Amino acid sequence: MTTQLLFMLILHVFSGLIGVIFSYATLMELVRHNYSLPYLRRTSVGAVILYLLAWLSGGYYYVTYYGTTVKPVILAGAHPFAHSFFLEVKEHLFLLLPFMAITSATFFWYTNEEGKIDERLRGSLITLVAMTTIIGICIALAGVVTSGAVK
Amino acid sequence: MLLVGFLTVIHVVGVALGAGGAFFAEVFYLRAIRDGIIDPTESDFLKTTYRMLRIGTILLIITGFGLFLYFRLNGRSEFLYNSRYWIKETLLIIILCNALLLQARRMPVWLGSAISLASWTAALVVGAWRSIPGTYVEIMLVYLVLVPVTAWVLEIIRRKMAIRV
Repeated sequence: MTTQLLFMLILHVFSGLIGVIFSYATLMELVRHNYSLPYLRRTSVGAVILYLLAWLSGGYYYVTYYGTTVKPVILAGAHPFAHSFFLEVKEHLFLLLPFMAITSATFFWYTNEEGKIDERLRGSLITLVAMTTIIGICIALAGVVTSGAVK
Repeated sequence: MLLVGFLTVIHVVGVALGAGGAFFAEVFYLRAIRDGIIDPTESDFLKTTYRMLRIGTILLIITGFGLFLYFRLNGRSEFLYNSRYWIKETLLIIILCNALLLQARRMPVWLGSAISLASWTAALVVGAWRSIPGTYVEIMLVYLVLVPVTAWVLEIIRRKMAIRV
């Protein structure tokens, strides 16, 4: 593996992981009754940037290395489901994640700082950010399962 | 090897802050509610403890993934299918969900405290005891027994403290 690919893999893992931490931080703040809008803006925008970084670095790694070198090893190994199920699910779910994060970040960015978020809308936002966090955690764990199958 | 040592040290610091934070949060909370009111000083202590707990959890997650990546890149990926690893992941998810429900006030404090304390204790034991006997299901069953036992012990402590006041 070249240094560039190694860098892309490390960037993919950590930007995705820290992105999930940012989504979780957004969710933790949003469920509070006296939430801080500037905090929600910072964490949600941070999540978007990190998910996009994870998206691009993961995509580069997949196209240039994983598909030709790692995938055949997994499929021939003891745990082929790691690719045929977990990675397939991961790569499709991952397409949604930045858009879900962009939706919530856009809302927090354009909400009037003085006003409070309507309670029903806040409920929907909690669902959206919770789904983003849950999908993020599932993708991270699917990555662990895939990595564990490489021998 | 230097990188593994560094990551392991930070990982242990994360565990210490997380598990220690969970214990101290409970001690400070029990002391704070003795008179039925959480005054500003007690509230400050609690906030600081929760902050340390969060920092510990973040360090734990990041260094845990750092170690996982290091071993994976060095051809030692077999432990990723180890039950100990998945028990720790499960406990971490339980800790995160519990913190979220407590923050949203959807979880009774007595139960949330017991889950937090039992989960951190279980994570500490599973992390430190490398040759722990038992499968994933067996160890998780022990953990499920540990939660009500912890709640019961905390309730006894609460009652004793209330009598003293």
